Amino acid sequence: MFNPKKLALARMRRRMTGKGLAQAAGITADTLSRLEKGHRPPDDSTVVKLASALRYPTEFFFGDDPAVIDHDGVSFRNFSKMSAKEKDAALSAGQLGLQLAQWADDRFNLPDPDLPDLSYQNDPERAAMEVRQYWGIGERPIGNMVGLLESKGVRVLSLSEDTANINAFSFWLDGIPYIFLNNFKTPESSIFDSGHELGHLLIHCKGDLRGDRLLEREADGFAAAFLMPANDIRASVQRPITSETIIKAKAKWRVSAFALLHRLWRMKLVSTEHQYRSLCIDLSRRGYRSSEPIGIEREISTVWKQVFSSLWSEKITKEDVAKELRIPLDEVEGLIANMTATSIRPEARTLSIV
Amino acid sequence: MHFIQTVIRRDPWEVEPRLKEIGLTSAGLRRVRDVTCAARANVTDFHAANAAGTFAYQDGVWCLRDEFVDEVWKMERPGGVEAIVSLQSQVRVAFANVDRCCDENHHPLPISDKGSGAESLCERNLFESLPSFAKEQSSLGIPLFYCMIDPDGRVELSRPTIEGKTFGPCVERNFISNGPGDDDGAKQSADQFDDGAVEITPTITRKAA
Repeated sequence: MFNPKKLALARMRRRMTGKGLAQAAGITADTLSRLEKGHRPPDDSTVVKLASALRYPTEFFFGDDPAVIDHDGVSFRNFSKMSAKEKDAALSAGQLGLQLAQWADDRFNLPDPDLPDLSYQNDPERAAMEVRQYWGIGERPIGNMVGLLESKGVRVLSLSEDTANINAFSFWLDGIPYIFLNNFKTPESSIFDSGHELGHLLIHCKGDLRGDRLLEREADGFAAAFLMPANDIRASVQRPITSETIIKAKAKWRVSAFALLHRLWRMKLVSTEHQYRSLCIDLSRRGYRSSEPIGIEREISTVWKQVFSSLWSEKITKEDVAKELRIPLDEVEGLIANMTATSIRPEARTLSIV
Repeated sequence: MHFIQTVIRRDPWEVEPRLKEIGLTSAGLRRVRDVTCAARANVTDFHAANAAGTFAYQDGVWCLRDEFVDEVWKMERPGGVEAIVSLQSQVRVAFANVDRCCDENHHPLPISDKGSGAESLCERNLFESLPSFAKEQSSLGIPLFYCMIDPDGRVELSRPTIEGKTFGPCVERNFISNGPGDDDGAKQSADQFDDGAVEITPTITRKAA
C-alpha cells in the first residue's frame, strides 16, 4: 500500500518543495498535496513519475512508516543557522540511517550501548571526567574517537549534507544512541563534533534539545574536556604557549588548532585576552581558521567497514543492500560516506567555529 | 620433597572448574584487570615515572579485595603481602603487575621485586635449571597465588615460586584473559602510539542466519 509519509521523506531528502516536485513529476501541486496528506492513493503511473523525479525506487513508497525520530530530542549543532529545508533533509537522512542501522543490527552482533546516565551532571568538565573514568580511559588521548564511540554501542553514520550549516546531530531511539556526522568537514572538526554529540547523548539525554544555546555551550565544553583532559593538557603543553606549540601539540589530542587554543584559554594557560587574540590572529594567518594545514587522517568507522567487508566476502554489494532496503544507492553511500575507507582531506572551506 | 611439571590451563573449559574449586570467578578477575587498566590510564607526564605501576598496584589490590572479600574470603597481610585468603579452599591470592601474561613460553616476571614475605609464602624455586618444573607444595602453609596482570590487560591466576626477589617457575598457571578484546568484543590496545593514545575498536560478528 502506498505510504504518503515515505513520499514526504523522499521529497525532503531531495530538498524539493512540493511545487518543485509536482513540476518535475508532471502532476499538479494540488494532486501532490493530496497524495502527501494521504487523501487518496496515486495510480501506478503517478508513482512511477514521482519515483523518477525523486530518483527513488518505486518500491520505496510502499510498506511500513519510516522510523519516527522525536524532533524535540534531536540536538543539532548550528541550529539557528539551519534552514527548515536543511533540517528536514538531515532528519530524513536520520530516518534512512535508522533503517540501515537496524538492517545491520539484524545481521551482525554489534556492541551493546554502554553509556552512563550523566543527566544529573550540570558541569560538562566533571561529566567528561566521569565518563572517562567509567570507560577506564583516564587521562589518555583518544586515538580513534569513532572507534571508541562504536565500541560503546553508539551507531555512527555519515551526513552527506554539503553544507557547513549542518555539523552533526544525535539522538536516542529505543535505547540505542545515534550520531550523524558531517564528514565533509576536516577530520579534526568531525572528531570535535562527535565529542559534542556524545555530550548531548550523556548529559542531555532527557529533555527538549531544540536550539538551546546553553545546551550547545555545555556540549562544546564537554567535547573540549573529553577530548583534551585538563590534567593531560597541563602536563603536556609546553610553555610559553605559541602558535608553534599549539600546532605541534594538537596532534596528540587530534583536535583543531583553534579547539586547542580555546581550551588553553579556558584553562587559563593562555592567561591574557591579548595573548589569546594574538594567537587567534597568528593561527588565522597560517590558515588554521578555515582548515588544518597540518592535519590528521580522517577516522573511519570500524563497524561499517567490517559490515561491508563481511558482506562483500559473501558477494553482497552496497547495491544489494540498497535494493533490500528499497532506498537509492546514493542514500546508502551517503550514510557511510568517508566512513569505510580513508579519503583525501577536504579542501579549505568556510566552517563554523567549534 | 618432589617436583612436578607446571600445570598450564589455557582454555575456559579447564580454567573455569579450577577457579570454581578455588572459589574465584573469571569475571571477577577481569574486573580487577579493568580497574587496574583504568588506573594506569590516569597517569600524565607530570606523574612520577613509576606512577602507572603504582596506580595499578594500589587499585588492583583494592579491587581484588572489593570483588572477593565475603564470608569465605578474608583480607590479610601476612609478612607485608597484601592478599586475600580462603580457609575453605586453603588458598591465598595477591595482586601483581607483571611484564607479560598468558604466554606459556614466558614466565611472568613481576614489575617490582618480591620481598621476603612473598618468598616465604611461595617457597623458593629449587630447580633452577628446569624452569618448567616447580616444587609441588609450600611447606609454610596456605599456598599463595597471584592475580597477574600485564600492561596489555592479559590476566592469569598463577602460583609461582619466588627466588631472588622475582617469580620463578610456577606450580600452576591459569590463563584467564588475553586482554579486553578477548572478553567483550571491544578490542582495546593502549600504547599503540608514542603518546599513549587509547585506541579502541570494536569487533563485530555475523549473526547466524
